[in-house]
This record gives sequence, C-alpha cells and structure tokens, in this order.
Amino acid sequence: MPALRLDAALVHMNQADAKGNAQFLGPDPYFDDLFCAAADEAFVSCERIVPTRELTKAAHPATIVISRMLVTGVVEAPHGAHFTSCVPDYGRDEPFQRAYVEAAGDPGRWASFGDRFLAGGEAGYQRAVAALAAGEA
Amino acid sequence: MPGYDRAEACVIACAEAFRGDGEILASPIGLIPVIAVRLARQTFEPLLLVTDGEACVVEGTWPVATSSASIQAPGTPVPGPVESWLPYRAVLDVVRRGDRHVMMTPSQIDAFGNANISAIGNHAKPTAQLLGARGAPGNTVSHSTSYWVPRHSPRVFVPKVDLIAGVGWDSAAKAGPAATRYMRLRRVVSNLASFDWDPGSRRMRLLSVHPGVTVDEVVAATGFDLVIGDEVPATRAPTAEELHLVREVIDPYGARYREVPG
Repeated sequence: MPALRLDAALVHMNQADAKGNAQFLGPDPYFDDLFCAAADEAFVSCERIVPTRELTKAAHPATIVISRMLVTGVVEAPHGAHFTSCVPDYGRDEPFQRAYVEAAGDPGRWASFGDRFLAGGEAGYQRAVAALAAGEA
Repeated sequence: MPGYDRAEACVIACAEAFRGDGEILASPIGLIPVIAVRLARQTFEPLLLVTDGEACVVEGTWPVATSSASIQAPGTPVPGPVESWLPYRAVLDVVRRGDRHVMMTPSQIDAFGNANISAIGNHAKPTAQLLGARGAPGNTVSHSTSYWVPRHSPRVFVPKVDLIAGVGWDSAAKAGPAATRYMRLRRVVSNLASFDWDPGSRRMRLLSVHPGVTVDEVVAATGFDLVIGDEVPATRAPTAEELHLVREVIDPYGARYREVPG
C-alpha cells in the first residue's frame, strides 16, 4: 500500500521549546513524530513552552522525538489534548466522553451540548470542561 | 457440582488457548482473557510476555480489580517490575514478526473464522457502529488469533458476517499466500464450549463443552453447522492451584462474573 501524503499534521506534546523541538513525557510517544515527518507542514501544540535547556533537565534526550526541522509552528495550549490523555499532565476525561456519547445520540441534547462546550472558542471550551469536572467531583 | 463454576471453566478454556506459545506477546482483550493469560503465565506458560495495558512489558501476577467496584484501568502501576518498553509503534513491529497471540471478542463469527468487530447491518448504513476493524485484519494474517465470546448465541455465531474484520480461512485462501502464510486461527472459547478448526474442511470444530452444557445446547446456539466428533469431552477442570490463583490472587473480587454469571 503506498504511503499517504499528508498536507499537514497537528500533534499535541507535553513540552516544546519556542523553536519547535518537542517532547513526550508519558509512557508512549504514539506516532506524533512520524506524522510530523510525513507531512508537508507540521504544527505542534503543547502543555508548556519552556527554554530549550529545560527539556533535558529531568528527562532523557530520547524523549525529544520531534525536531524543529520538522515543525512549521508551535503553540502553547494547556489541556489541548482534552478529552484524550496527555500523561503525566492529565488522563482521559471519561465523564466528558460519556456526556459526549449521550448527546451525540440525541439531536436535542446535541444542540445543548454544542451551546455548552463548543460555542465559546478554546477558552470557553476549557472553562466549560473545568466546570463539568468541578460538578462531577 | 464440580466445585467450580462456569466463569472459572471459561478462564481455564481461555488459558488453554495459550498453551505452547512460549516466548511471545500475549494480548488478551476482555476480563476473562486477561485473567486467563495471567493464570497461564503463572502456571504452564511462564515465558509469555504481558503488558501493563499501556506501553510496558511487566513481570508478576496481579489482580484485575482492587475492589468490588473498580476494574483496574489500563496503565495503572502494577506490582511487578518493568522488563521492557513496548510503545504502540513497537507492537506493530511485533505483529509483523508474528511473535504475538491476540484474543479478541467478535460481535459476529462464522464457521471459517471470519470475524466482525466493526459494524452490524448494511455497511452503507449500519444498524450498529462498533469498534471498527482496528488491528483485526493485520493480526489475523500475521500471528496467532483466538476469540472469546461471553454470550454464545446465533446472533454471534452466524452463517455469514456482515463485515470481515478478522480474516477467516476461506477469505485468506482467496487472498493468496500473503494472507495465508502466517495465519494461525487457534481457538474460539465461549461461555458454553471451546472450538478449533477442522484441519481438512477448515470449518469450526467443537473441541469441548463446559461442565453443565450439552452438545445439543451448543448446536442450538450456533447459526451454522459445526464439525462434531463422536465423543465431545468436557473442558479440562481447573487444578486446586489454578482455582486458588483465580479466586485469591488474580480475581479476588469476582470481576469475572461481570462477563459470565457464576
């Protein structure tokens, strides 16, 4: 089977520097570096943008699996992998996933789900997610 | 009363699927398969490799649940030491090498072992969207595959599956040597019985029935004709050591009864 040519890759990592060197700190790097290498343009979002020196302060250099030469742009986007996991920063949000599944099967509830979580951009989304988590606790 | 229940018979039957595997990665999916693989490694297959459900191969034998309420989540720290790192990408390499035995749960399976985990009904507009084909096609043509069916019925054991995700013997033969070369369908274990495939006809064959189950019950619950010998033995009974390991060490809170009532 021939390889797919990717126009762009969007990946989320634990840490990166401002040049786009990016690092995973969880148990598994999955395929994010491979997506970046296979794409014409790659955009890295991350939990924290830190000085380059910080990347190897407490972690092995082998955790920096994405080199800046693969990366078109980098952005700090805390909680940007929600509702999936970004271990060790956070795990999967199962209550949110349940709310999504319940809403997705019902057009009326989907409209209110959209109003609650999707109408306010990234900041509004993260505020609504935090409010759901506070209510669940 | 044999002194053990149906769920425990299923654990033994699933463990037996891994007998003789040696030093390969065991990938059980489902509670009773997970219990079975830990049991097999602790007893008759000590060389099996088992992961923590995330990205590490770990030693030891640990419980599937730590309370009556919780099933241990994947990646939860396990007591045994990590013996190697096995991220997702490395699992794909193991699949290509063939050093793996997966046990999956099909929503439908036919006599030749074609298995559907993807969608029920017309593919253009399914009545139920399931997992998707996932790794089933690559798994089935690359290494050992077994199946676990917690509720044996004619809705699962069907004449023809709606979508082929796991490749059966007849489909592989049509696809040619690339599909057949490394294919090893090993066992089907259900809550009623154990099966393998007749080497001549490649149709599913009744291997043993669990205690308290008759051959007629199995036939009535199966939507295709099984190959059935003159004598169908009972599924092997657990040893005292195996019962101790299941009840006290691996599944002390009875999580197995969520899949098969006791």
